[in-house]
Amino acid sequence: MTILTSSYQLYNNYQRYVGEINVRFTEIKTIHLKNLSDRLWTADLQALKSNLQEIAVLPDIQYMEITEKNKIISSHGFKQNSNVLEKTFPMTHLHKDKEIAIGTLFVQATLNNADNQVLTQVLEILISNAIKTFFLAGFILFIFNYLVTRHLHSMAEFATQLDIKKLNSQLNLDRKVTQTNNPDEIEILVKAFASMQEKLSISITQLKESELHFKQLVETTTAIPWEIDLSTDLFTYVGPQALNVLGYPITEWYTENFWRDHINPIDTKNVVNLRKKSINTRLDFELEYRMISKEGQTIWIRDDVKVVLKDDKPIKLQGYMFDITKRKLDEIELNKHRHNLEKLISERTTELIASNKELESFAYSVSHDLRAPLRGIDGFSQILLEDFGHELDSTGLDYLTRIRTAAQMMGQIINDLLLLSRVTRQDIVITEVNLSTLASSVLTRLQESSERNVQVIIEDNLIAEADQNLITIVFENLFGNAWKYTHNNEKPIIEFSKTIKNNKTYFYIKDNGIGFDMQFVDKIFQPFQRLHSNSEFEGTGIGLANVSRVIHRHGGDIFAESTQGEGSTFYFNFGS
Amino acid sequence: MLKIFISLILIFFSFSIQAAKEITLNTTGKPPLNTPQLTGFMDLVAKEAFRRIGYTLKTVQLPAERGLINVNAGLEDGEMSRINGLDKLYPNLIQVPEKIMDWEFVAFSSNKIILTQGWQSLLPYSVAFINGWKILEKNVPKKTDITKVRTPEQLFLMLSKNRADLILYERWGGLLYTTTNKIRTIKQQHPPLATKKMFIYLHKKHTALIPKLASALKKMKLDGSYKAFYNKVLAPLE
Repeated sequence: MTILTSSYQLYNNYQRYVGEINVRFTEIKTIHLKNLSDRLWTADLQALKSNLQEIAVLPDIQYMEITEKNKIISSHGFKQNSNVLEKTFPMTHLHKDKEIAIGTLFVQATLNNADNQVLTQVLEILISNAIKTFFLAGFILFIFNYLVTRHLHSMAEFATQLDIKKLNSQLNLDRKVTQTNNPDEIEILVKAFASMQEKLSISITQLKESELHFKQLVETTTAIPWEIDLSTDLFTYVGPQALNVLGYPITEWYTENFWRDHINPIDTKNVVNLRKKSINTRLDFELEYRMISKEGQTIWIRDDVKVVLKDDKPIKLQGYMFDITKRKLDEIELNKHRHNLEKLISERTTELIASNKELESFAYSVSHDLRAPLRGIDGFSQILLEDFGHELDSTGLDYLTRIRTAAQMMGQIINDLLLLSRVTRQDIVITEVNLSTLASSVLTRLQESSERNVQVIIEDNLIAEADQNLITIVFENLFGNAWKYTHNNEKPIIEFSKTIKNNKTYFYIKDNGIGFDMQFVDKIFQPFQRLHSNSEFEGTGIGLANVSRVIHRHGGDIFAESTQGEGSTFYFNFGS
Repeated sequence: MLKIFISLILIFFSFSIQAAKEITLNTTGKPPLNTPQLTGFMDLVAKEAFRRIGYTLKTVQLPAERGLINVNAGLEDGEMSRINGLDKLYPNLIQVPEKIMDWEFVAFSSNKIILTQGWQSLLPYSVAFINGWKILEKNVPKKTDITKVRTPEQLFLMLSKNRADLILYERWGGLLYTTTNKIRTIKQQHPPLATKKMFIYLHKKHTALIPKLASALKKMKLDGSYKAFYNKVLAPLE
C-alpha cells in the first residue's frame, strides 16, 4: 500500500515538473518568439544569439536552435538524445500584410532535473520508510521473541542436549500453561516434542534389538567380518571370530599395521599391491594369502573385499575373511596327486604309442608276408583246376573253386588291411580339393565298369581343405557302397551335396538303395562288421572303417542315417 | 664660425621638431573610405594633406557620438569627416572649410525599381537602413515600410532574401560590399537620394593649421593628386 501511495505521489510530482517545463515552452512562445522572429527577419545573427542566451537561463531549457530553410542559423546549448521534452515553434513575420513563414525555433528541455527530483524523493521515501520499518520490525521482533523465539531457542537447546541415554527428560518452558481445549502452537510443539521423544525411544530400542540381532547373525558365522577406515588405515570393526581363527585378542587388530604385520612375508608384497590397485580402480576384489597365527602357524585366508565409495571416492573397505587353510592343504595334496597322475599318463601314452607303432608294423608285415603264400594257394589251385580239372568230379571241382574264392577273398582282406594300415600311418597333405569334381570322377569310373543306369546328382563347386588321396579313398568307398546297395533298385539315384546339421556344415552322399537298420548304425564304421551276407553284397567290412579313420584323421566327423528299403545317407565333414 | 654652428644647431632642431609632429583624427568611416591601415580614400587624401603641412596622420576608430565628445574635450586632435555645421553643437571644434569629399546616400535593389521623385519614391516599397543614420531617419517618408538594422551585412542579407525591396546605404560602402561578395544581382539606384559634403574638424588648439590644411586640400584637387587617389581606390568599384 505504501509503495502504491508513494509511487502515485512520485508520478504526480513528475507530471507536475513536466507541466512546468511545458509552461516554459509557452512562455518562450508568448514572450520571446516574436522578438526572435524579428531578429531572424533582419538577419541579425548576433542579436539572435544573444536572445537565445537569455532564454537559456530558463530552468531545464538546455538547447535551442533556429532553422531557416532546414539550415541552422543560430543555436545555443548542447543537444541531448534522450530523456528530453522538445517543442518546435514556427517563426513568422508580417510583411506587406502577409504572415510569412521564415523559420522554426526548436527548443529542447532536459528531464534530468525532473528525474533527479524524483530520485531524491524516492531516496527520501526509502529512508523514511526504512526507518519506520526498522522500528516496526524491532517492535515485532521484540514481541515475537517474547512470545515465540525464546521458546524455540529453549527447544533448540533442549534438542541439542537431548541424549539417547536420557530420552525421558522433559521439556519445560518459561510460560503459563493454558488448560484450554485450544492449545497454541508452542504447546502443540511441546507436545509434539514429547511425542517425538517417546517414538524416538521406541525406535532406538527397536534399533538396538535389531543391531544385536544382526550382530549375533554376523558373529555366529565362521567368516570374520571387518571394516577399515581408509583415512586412517585402521580397522573400525573386526568380528570376534578373528580370535578363534588367528588367536590374537580383538583389541590388537585395532592397532596400527596389525593386519599387514601378520601377513606371511611371502605374500605381503602381492597382497598390499593388489589391495592398493583395487582401491585405485574402486573395484571389489578377492584375494588369498597366508597369515601367521599367534601360535606361529600359517593360516590361509580368503578375503572378499568391497570398496565403499562416497562422492566417488573410496572411504572404507569392508569384507569377510574366510579360513581356507584346510581347503588349501587339500588343494596342495590334490595338486601333488594330479601331477603324479599326469606323469603316469604321459608315460603310459608314450608306451602305448610305441606299442601301436609296433603293432601296426607287425600287422603290415604280417599282411604283406601273408600275400605270398596266398598267391601260391590261389595260383596252384588255378593250375590244378586247369591241368587236372578233367580228372576231378563235380564235388572236387566245387571244393577247388571254393579254395580259390576263399584265397581271393583273403587276398582282398589283406589288401584292405594294408590300406587301413596305410591310412593310419600316411602323412596328411592338406590342399584345397574340389569335391564335386572328385565325386564326378569316382562315379564316372563306377559307371564305366557297369552297365547300370544310375541317376547322379552332384552339387557344383563343393570345396574342402583336405588330403586329396585320402578323400579319394573315402569317395571310392562311400560312392562304391551307394552304387552297390542300389543294385536292386530300378531307378537308382545317388546324390552328393552339402547341408547344415546341428549348426554344422556337412557334405552328404545319399542313395535310394536297400538301407540298413539304424540299430546297427554304431557297428558300420568298425572293421569287419557287415550288415549283409557276402552272397547278397560283396565286401570285406573294412571300407567304412577306412572312411571313418580318414575323416577322423582330418579332425572331422561322420555319421549315417538310413531307412531300410528306402536308402542311406552318409554325412561327413573335415573339421574346422 | 660661431654663428654658422648655432645656425646648424637651430636647423637640426627645427627638423627634429618638425619630424616629430603627429596629428590624430577620429573616424567612423568604413572601407573603402577609411581603414585601420590608412589605405581608404579619405585616409589617403587626409594623410597627403597633413603631410603637405608637415604632419603625420594617425586615426582612431570610435563610435560617432563618442568621437565628437572626445575631440571636443581635446583628447584627440580632430574628426576625419563630418557634415557641415557641427562646430555649432561642439564649440571646441573648428571646421576646415575645404570639403574632403561628398557622401552619397543611395538606394540598392535587386529588382527593377526606378526612383523618380527622390525620397517620396520610397513610399510603396519596404525599405531597410542602419539604425541611427539621421539623414535617413529624417528623410524617408514615415509611412514607408521601414526596417532598421544594425549592420550593413544585415541590409544586404535582407535584400538577398527579398525581405526588403530597397536598402539605403552610403554609395561606396555598398559598392564595395557587392564587389567584394561578387553580388551581381544587387544594383545601385541613380541618382543618389542625398549628397552631403564632408569636412575635417580640428580642435581649436590647432586653429593655426586650418587655413594651411584647407589650402593643401584645394591644391591636391588642382594638381591631380586627389583624382589619383580616387582612381586608385574608388573608381574600380563603379
